[in-house]
Amino acid sequence: MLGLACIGVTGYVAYLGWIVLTQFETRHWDLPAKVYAAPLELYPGRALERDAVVTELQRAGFRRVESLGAAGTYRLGTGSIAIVTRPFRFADGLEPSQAVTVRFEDSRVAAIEDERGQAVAIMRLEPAPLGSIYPSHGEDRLVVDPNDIPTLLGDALKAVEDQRFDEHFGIDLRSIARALVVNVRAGEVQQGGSTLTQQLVKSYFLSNEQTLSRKLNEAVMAVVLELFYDKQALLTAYVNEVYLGQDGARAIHGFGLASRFYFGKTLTDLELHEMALLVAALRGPSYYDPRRFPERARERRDLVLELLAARDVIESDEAVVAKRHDIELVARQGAGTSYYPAFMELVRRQLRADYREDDLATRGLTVFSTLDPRQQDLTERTLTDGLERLEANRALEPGFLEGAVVVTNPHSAEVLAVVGGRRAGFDGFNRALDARRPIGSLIKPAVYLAALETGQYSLASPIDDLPIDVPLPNGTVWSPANFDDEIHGPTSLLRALTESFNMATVRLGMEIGPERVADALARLGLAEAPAALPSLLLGAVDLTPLDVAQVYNSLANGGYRAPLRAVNAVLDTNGQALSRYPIEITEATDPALLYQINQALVQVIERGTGRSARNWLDRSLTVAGKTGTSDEYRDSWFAGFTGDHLAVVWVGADDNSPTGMTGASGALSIWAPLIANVGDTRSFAPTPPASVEETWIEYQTGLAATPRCADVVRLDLAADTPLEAKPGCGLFLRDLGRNVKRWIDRLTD
Amino acid sequence: MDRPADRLIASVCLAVALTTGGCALGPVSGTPSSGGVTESAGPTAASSASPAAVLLAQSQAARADGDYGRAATAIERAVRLEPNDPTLWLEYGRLQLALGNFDQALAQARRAANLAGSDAAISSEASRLIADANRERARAEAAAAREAELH
Repeated sequence: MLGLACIGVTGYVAYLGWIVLTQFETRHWDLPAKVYAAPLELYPGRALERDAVVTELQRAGFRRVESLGAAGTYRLGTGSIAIVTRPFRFADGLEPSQAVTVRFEDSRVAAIEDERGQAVAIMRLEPAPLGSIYPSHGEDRLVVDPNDIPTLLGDALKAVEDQRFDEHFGIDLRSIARALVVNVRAGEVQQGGSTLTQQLVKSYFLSNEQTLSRKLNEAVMAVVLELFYDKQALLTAYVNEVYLGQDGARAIHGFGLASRFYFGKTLTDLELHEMALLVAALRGPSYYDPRRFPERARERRDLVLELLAARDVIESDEAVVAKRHDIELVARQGAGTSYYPAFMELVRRQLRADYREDDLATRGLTVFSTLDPRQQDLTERTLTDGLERLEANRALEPGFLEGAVVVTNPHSAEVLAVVGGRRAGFDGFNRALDARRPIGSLIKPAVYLAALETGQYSLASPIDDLPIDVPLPNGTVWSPANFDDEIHGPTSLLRALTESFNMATVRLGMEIGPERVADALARLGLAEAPAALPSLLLGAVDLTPLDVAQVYNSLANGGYRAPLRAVNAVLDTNGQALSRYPIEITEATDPALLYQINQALVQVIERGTGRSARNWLDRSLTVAGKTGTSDEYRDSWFAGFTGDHLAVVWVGADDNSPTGMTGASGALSIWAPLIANVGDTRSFAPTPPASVEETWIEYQTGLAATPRCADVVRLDLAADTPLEAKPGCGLFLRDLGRNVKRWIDRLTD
Repeated sequence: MDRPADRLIASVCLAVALTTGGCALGPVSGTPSSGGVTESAGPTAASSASPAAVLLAQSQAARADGDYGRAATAIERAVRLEPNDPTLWLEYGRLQLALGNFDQALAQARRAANLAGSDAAISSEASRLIADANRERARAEAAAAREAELH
């Protein structure tokens, strides 16, 4: 009987030992991938406020000081900022610490100088950490080596938490006995008597249950750990393991991350009073949260300092000096500003193609993403404000509308911002990536591009905006109408696209065939061509805002399709690049034809369905774009671009009910202020292809005209475009372009 | 934005780089790498050149050193600043050619040619890149064919 019991107990102990040792070994290597934003580039001439640089530095955990010295600090001067950067390993190598002074004038960077007074042409700031790709339990940590743990921290932990750590074998019988006495007297559990090793074990299994069997298991595991590892290894594990705070869904573990999180410093840079505050927080990181309860935290910190002095870890006058310090914390990074779940989801999806989820959560990779935090914050704000304004103006129930925005740099094909809903900090349904909605008139550029590709049309070609009956395969007849229920008669392709005429577009699309349109749309950026049905011509195809961004990115990029990227590079723990994601382009169409389409999209803003954008946009900024509205006003879209930014905005209701808004009245009223506030964007001004020639045409008819005629538009058209001359507006042969002359010559031959 | 001027400066930089073996480019004053530790150039000392031209020169120097990772980062930083400058896309294409990505080299050369508009110098530079990429690809394919025959 006794033998059996012995075997049973031994087996159980072995089982517990196996569990805790496996846990210890794996925890050792559990390093979530760290994701960084794109670095902010500084160069003379860049439109940038000093405040933007300060915000960026704070995001990276830099501290403001009065006299410069340490790396990771900055000092504000009159119209300038002095920065001491930290050494930082970018994707292309380690950049050493540098002291620079950046001067600002008229909201621009005026000059940058290094410590020797030499002008600096361009530099990048340390990028903001966006967070980590955690394992499912949400723990984040910055693991520190034993060498980077200050002796004082070890001594303080022992003095406060476990005085006999260096002597005991995992459990401390004396303190257990003392705790037992206290607890029996009180009639409840008041005192723990846990050693650091026991606390470590407890932390591994994430439970606060205080049952006797748990305590016993914990004790056995602690003893096993002590048998296999030395005190230094256990202390290091403890320093990296313990829970020290909460940042939204992210649990702050370990002193390395906690010192960054609270003080913006590395652990080795902490001062005594700061270290004492962290040790104080151990007992109850939410109860003693120094941000929420500074008084309470300070009281406990001072207690810790007194204890350290009493136990001879520090001198008593050191404690006195340390106690005088107020609690000074770095601005909270996660306070709604750098927690970007919608963008992080895109990062995960891109990485999933090349990495296992488990590798991302454990291998300590460094991920350089393309997120522009300034752009992201602006986009979040603009969407939230815009939806509230729309609801207020239209007497809609607050919270009825939802929205999503994707912003890219069209040339580098980098995703700069992703907002998946009006509660941007909420890790919920990501509409930017997952809401598939009919795109309405956003498809029209593909219809007109497909028409130009046949070689039979130019923007000046005439088309009839007259009722049309399209027989459908199921025997019914489709008779699309215009949005304004008007019939505009003969018109130019330019005007039909600019003002988004439905009947003219369907007529054109049926002339060339919906297959060509489906094919053009797919080439511009879809994984596969949509069904080539007549209804496709008015946008009966369900796409996500990200899909639309991919398609319109090809327009903004001059006809070159480039897969959108959220990640530029991934490094391993040694700083070696595991993956680089370069810009890869494919010619989606003839760039000279796309150039024509883009001219029409500029007219959309100048005089077409997008003209209300000018309520927000400066006249001098040339932009191009297109509105989209789905049936019964269920979806309101706007996609448009400048020379440097593309943004796609969707507004609608989650339950797909009608919102009563067109693309112009809804999405555009968010897109336009967004672009107006980017601050650092240039006009859309593509280089004219060599094959085009400047031409004036009458907007309504597409007839060749001169600037003296009424209602004319300057267009760059292919040099061999056949044009009919507008009679009676002073158009003489000598005013005509070479092409028109050639054409007339041919007629008169 | 003064693109032709930038282009001129970039071309001058390129010419200087070619004639001096890339060592006289003041701005590219990064600490030389030692002991296998790559140090990036750090904040770059200014010259009269635009930031994009400085990054272009950095990228060219890194490509000449065979450090394609650093070359890629520098040229991507440059195209973000001046996306309509064809000389930058030409360098992007040259880098892709060095990496053996013939399709990308050709596509970038054609993009540069389109952006060049009526600039003959850029157009002929683009044509040269297209010819180089086609030649390199033919060479690579011939080598692969020989390899296949041997096995």
